[in-house]
Amino acid sequence: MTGERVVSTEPADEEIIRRVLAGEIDLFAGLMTRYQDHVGRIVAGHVPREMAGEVAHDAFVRAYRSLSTYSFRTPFAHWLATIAVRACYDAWRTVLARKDTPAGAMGEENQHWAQRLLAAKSDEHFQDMVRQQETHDLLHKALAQLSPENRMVLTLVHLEGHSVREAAELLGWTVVNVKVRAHRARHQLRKILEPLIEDRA
Amino acid sequence: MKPSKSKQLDTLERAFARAHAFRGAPVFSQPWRDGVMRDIRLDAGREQTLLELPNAIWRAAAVVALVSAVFVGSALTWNAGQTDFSALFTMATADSTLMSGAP
Repeated sequence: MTGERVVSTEPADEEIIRRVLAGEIDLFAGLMTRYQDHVGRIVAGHVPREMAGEVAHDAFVRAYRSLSTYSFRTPFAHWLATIAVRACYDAWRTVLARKDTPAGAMGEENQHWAQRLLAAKSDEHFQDMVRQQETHDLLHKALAQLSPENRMVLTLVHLEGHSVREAAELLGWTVVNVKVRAHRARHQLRKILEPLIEDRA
Repeated sequence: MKPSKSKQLDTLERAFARAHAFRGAPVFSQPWRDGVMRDIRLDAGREQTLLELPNAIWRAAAVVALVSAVFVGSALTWNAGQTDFSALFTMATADSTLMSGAP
């Protein structure tokens, strides 16, 4: 230990935000570089890869527009997360409005996947199955059959493990609304998955 | 013995939750960042225009008011000048000494 203090030369988020609000718009690019992975991870959890760029783009433009409402009381990353989650929700609502949801019922080929997964003898084999693209595709296929509201809640609460209160904060909904939706969405997902195991039960 | 339907559904749900955790974050390129900043600058430009609009309206109104005041003022001055001139002419015609050039 040399005892020297490491002083970051990077300006703090708060300083950048104040300067952006004062008219130095180009400094927002610095915030974007700093938080693009954070927003990317959130967005990738809710929308497929081909939609991620567009939704993250929308999230950052919204963040810029709402920057004057940032209170400086919560971490910027948390504030940005709420904007990103809501951008994902709005993206699904737009997809639904266009009626181009690629939703399809679970077929026979998906039953084979379920059989292989349920027959996994070890945790290692289970993990291998989980990492396969087929599992991701099937997850998207199942989620595509849910409403945008139920999809968002199910992803936040059941897949990502957020508490109902956290999910409510991220979505800007009431705790009761999220609680009811979380229950319904999980029930709905299990109904969607049922045909995959019917032959085995 | 096969596990119950509920247990199997639990396993499928667990698999989905793990698959979700393994998702990778997308990598955003410089052109993507440039695109976002372009939209932000456009947005800021529009916002600035909207903010400046009330000022422009006040400025235009002030110019119109000033031009109107100058116009009305000059019209009044012109009328007043004409009146003064005609009055002078009447006075001159009425006063014979003034027209005759007599001392």
